[in-house]
Amino acid sequence: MLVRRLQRLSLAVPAALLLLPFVLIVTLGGLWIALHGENLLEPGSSQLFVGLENFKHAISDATLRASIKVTVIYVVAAVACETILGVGVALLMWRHFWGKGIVRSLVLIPMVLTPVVAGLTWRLLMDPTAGTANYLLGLLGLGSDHAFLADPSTALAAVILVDVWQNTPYVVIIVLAGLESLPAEPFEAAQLDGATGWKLLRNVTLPLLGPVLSIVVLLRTIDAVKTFALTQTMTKGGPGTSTLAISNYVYRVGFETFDIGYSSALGLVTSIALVVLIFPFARRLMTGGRPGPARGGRR
Amino acid sequence: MRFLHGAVRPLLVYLFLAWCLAPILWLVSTSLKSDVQAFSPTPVWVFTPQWGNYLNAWQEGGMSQAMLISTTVATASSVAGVICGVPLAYLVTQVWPTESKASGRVTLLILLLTTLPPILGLTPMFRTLYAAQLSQTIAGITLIHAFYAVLLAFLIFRSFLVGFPREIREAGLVDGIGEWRILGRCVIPNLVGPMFATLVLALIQSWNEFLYALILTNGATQTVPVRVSGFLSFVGTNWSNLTAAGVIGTLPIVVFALLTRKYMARGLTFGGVK
Repeated sequence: MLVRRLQRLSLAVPAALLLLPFVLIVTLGGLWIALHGENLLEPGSSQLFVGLENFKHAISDATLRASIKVTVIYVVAAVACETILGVGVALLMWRHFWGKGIVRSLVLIPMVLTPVVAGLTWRLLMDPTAGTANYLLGLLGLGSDHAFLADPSTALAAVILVDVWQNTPYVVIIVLAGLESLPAEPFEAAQLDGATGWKLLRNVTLPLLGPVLSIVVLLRTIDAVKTFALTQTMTKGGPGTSTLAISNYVYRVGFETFDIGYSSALGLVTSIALVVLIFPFARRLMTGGRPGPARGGRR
Repeated sequence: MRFLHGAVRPLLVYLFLAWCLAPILWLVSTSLKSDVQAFSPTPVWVFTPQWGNYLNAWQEGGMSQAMLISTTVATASSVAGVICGVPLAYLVTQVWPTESKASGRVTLLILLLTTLPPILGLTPMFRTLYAAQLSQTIAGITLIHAFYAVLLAFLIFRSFLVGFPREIREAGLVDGIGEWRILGRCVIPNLVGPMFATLVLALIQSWNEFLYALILTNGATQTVPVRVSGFLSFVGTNWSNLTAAGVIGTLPIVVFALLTRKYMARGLTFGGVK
């Protein structure tokens, strides 16, 4: 019995060997660094114990507050646009139309595109002198010299637009799969009752789609909060702090000003905040709360 | 919604497809223009393809090296992720009942680690890898990517194992076969497609990762995203070479993604959508 038990637990060993050291380094190592005033440019500063100084600094840090604001706007705007647009397109693609299979494959491309490449492509498109976006706006008589990414009033919207471009297909693919797995009976019943069009959508389709939508919104939120590559390649967080997401700020503090003690403290504070905010939802959606997939039968 | 009948519905879908693909077509076309045409204020629609851009990006631009490194890092880390993640997923779905407390705890822990933003590990991982003399090496960045690959592989493969009939394992136990053999000989052969999809999604995740790659690699170990971003220059970016590098760097993952399209929705929601 003991042998069998050990054999079972051995299934967890490879994962534990890789995950545990990482978790220990990130938590304990991170805390140790955060309690010290280490700057990579100052030799010996790694031994400088500063206690909670870094955390105190975080509370009064105006740039941190600005970056939290940027991240919140980014996440809320991007995820909202992606969900609304994505559900709309998925509904349009639901029933058969000519070329459905190909469209379904091709919309995947922006989603898997390397974010760095996506960011740079759009940076070229939005360039004030050579950008095609300006050329097209010029044709419409809307002016052709917008510096979208250099103007603090438009930079964040421009980056969010690229996030929406890149990730709406994710919502489309998943919601479409969700729609196709819906049972036919509720629709037949509703149609017998005379429900059509918007009524059918609002009272039958969307409620049935509820669980799928929650998961899509959750996973998109978790991902959008981590945004780094798009902002870093398009604007580096600028101009000023107008597109400085939390990841960009922590990176900037740690690896541009090399204040890794403070960078570590910022990482800890924001991560704890995120876990407190997001994890309860993740927990409810991904494990309990709704019946799991049916047992057996499926290959 | 009457107006959505007939030709309007597919038309709107194709409009969305055009919005998705236009920037990519622009990326590809820019990569074939001369540098002057690429940065021209009025778009150049007719031009002779400059295949030399690809040669420049590949040789002088260092894309040949970056592609080799990214291939190594992504392959090694995603294989490690599957080797570590799949047995754990098998443990919490087939050996332990999915409803059991232990199974739920392991899944929650992995979910928690997935929710944590990568910036949390930025400085401690940099510090530790530096002390272990693994900073700026291929091994260092592969280790980091392997960690994230385990989380992803576990969550994705678990979703495919949840519905897998447990009778198969029970039959194996009756025959006196060990857990590892049951997993390797009876379970995985029935889940080759999902296994491939898991591997590809982990591969894409590693290939696209930018934050850790930026701080943990140098000129000799840069992965594709870092190398491509290096084409930006203060004195004047050569956009035709940059876009050529971008096309080279994204082509493999686009092909892989299209190959595993079938499993995308299920894999990407960790089983939330079948």
